[in-house]
Amino acid sequence: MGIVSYGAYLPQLTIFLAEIEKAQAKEVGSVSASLKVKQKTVPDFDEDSATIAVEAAGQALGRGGDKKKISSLFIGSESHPYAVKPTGTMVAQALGLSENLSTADLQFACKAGTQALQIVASFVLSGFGEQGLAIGADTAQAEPGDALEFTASAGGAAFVLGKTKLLAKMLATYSVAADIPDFWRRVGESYPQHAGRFTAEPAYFKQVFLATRNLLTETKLKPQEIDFCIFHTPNGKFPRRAAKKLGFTQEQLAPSLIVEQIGNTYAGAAMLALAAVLDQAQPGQKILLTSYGSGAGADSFLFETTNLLARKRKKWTNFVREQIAKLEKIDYQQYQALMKARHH
Amino acid sequence: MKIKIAGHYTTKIGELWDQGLEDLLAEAVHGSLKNAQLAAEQIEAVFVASKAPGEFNHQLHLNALVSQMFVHYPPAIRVEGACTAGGLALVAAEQALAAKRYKTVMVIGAEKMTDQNALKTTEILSLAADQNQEAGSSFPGLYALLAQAHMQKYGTTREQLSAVAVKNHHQAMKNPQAHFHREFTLEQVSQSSLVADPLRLLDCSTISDGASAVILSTDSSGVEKWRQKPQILGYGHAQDSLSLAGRESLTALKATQKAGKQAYQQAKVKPKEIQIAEVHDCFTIAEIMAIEDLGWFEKGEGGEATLAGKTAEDGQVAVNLSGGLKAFGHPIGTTGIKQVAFLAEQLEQGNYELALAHNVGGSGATAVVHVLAKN
Amino acid sequence: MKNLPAKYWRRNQQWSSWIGQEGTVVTATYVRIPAEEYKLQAPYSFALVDFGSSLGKKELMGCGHERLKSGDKVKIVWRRVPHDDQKSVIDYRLKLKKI
Repeated sequence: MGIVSYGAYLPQLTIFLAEIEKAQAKEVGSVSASLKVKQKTVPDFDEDSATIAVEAAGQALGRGGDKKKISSLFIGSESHPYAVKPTGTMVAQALGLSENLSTADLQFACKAGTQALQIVASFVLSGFGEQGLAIGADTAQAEPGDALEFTASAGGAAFVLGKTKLLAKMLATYSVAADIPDFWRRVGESYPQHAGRFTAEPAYFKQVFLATRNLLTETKLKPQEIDFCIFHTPNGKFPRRAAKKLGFTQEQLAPSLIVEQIGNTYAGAAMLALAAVLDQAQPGQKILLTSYGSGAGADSFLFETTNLLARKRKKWTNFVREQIAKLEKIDYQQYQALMKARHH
Repeated sequence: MKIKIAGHYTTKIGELWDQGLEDLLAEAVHGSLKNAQLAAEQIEAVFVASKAPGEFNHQLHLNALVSQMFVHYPPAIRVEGACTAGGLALVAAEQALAAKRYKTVMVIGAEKMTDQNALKTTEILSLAADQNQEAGSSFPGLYALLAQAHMQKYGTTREQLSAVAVKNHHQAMKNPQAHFHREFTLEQVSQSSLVADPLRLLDCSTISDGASAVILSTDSSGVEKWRQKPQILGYGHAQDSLSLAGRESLTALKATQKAGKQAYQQAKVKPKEIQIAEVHDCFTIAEIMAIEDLGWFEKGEGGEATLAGKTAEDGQVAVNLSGGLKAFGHPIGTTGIKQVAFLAEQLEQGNYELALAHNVGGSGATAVVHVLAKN
Repeated sequence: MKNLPAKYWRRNQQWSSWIGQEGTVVTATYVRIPAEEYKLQAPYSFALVDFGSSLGKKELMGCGHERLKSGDKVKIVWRRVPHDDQKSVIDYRLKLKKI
């Protein structure tokens, strides 16, 4: 069981951190250097997690997978368009999926996308349908003036899972979860709250290390035996530290660090990083992915690419790197106007 | 059997805060009866035109509202057809007269648009478009697409569009009923703010209140001064696709061409014999297309002809001497009727022999053309 | 105008057959003064697009504030139409994106 097809979507606009630093009266370059993020994506006023999900899944279905065989659809997001009415049904309608569908929306901060991946994997593995679609998509919100404003961005990725014609096998998965209140948003609130430095060691690093170490133990693998590692990217700093602490090299991590150009796409982050790595991975390479969701938990996965990936890729267009290259710059005033238009 | 215009009346057109829909209708009823020197009881039936009294005024059952203004409650019917409600009401009346069901009928149009806010009004106006096919459109948007096509194909210029507005505002100065008594220069029109590229604020007819009524009759013995009354020589009524997506041409309104041909044929009149015309200039581009589609200028030359003064009062054909929809005003359902009322007055004054009225619905889905003679 | 549930549902049956279709802009305008329903997205493009002989022509709004012109190659995407009203069903529509 594994990945039959995948797709990614980034909104076309971007704002450089220098613009936000100026607006927040910070020394230009200071925050960017500290977070190791240069720019982030900005959704247009008429985009949201659902429209992003449709774009990413549309690319995935255009590359492979079979609409009629997909019997499960799970979408993880922190910005589902409705409080009550599933994103999944609208996305299924837009994609033209079969009405024989198991779906419900997921939320678990930035790990909701990978949780969707795990649930769909279990549907396929257990025989509850031939194929399934897992999507992580977000249009992350941050209060103007808050630290999160520097990284909260938008984007999504979609994965079709199945049992045959795999681009990458899912070899193992391991999850951890505990009640760690590092980041939350109450009902009726527009913006989330975060617990400052508490979000690092006791939250992100604790859960990421726990999940990853358990996965490595279970699969009896050492970091040197793995080709790529992907860790959730709330910024460019945390995944680098996680990789180092767990015994991975910066070379193994580098292809996944698109956060530098796109910011933190929340439930889309780990999924987009995985897409970026798959865009360049060679046959027979192993990929370890550990996402992190505040509140708090982590999902760890081990994938192995097949020959089919490199072969099919030759016919594809609009890879993650290409979408990054097409980003159009906007200034802080335009950014504010777009953010303001979001609450409709 | 001749159909004559026994009487006519148009209220002042404008932002008429003191008058509601009913007041406007009443004024036109009494005004036209007085002009015709007829008693109310001589009206055998009434044909009422209004685009959106439900949305603008929350008043439907308009036929009954008008009928009760007469002591004898004549049978009344409301005709809908967006901006061509007036023209279509005339057509319905003419058909009733031709069937000899009635001899003397009133055709009355009214629209009270200014009680709603402007954006809401724009929305109500856009109801004339195909709701399923044209979501996101607005009236100016649809005519802007037509303008783009005409400019691309024939090189019609910004200045030529402006010339329509300048001419019509100038001509309205002599029309006491007109909404606007204000002239503009070509530069002022060309530099007014963009509404839907390339159409600017002064390319667009605006929101007006008003009513107009004409009394049509075949009763040669019942109407005073029958011989002098203007005659309806012929009329045409044609349709085209509601949405632009379904049109064969974006640079001509085929409905206008067809309706025009029908009217000319019935009237046994050639286009070049028309001396004065009221055409449907809801937007400046619409007048340019109309004077081509009605056979006075070659396709693509309407803009140049307007700029050169060929449609001015002293031109080849006097187009929109009243000020047109642009400056006289466009209280939607009233327009088709007020065009005929204005022409009837011009014919009665003896300045012209043959006239034409041209009324269009939406972006060209419906067109009604009337050819009128002095007597 | 509130997005009526039944109307939205009849409309959403059309989505999947149109999303992704590519065509060429025949003529386009940029609506700056919109109807009330679209006031939150002005200015926006409105275009007549030719999708070829089997699908024919269709009139659609452009995405975001993107400006379209005659001859542009476009594809249909799925986007939101923002409204003042926080209570109605969210208005998702087909829009055009330049390719």
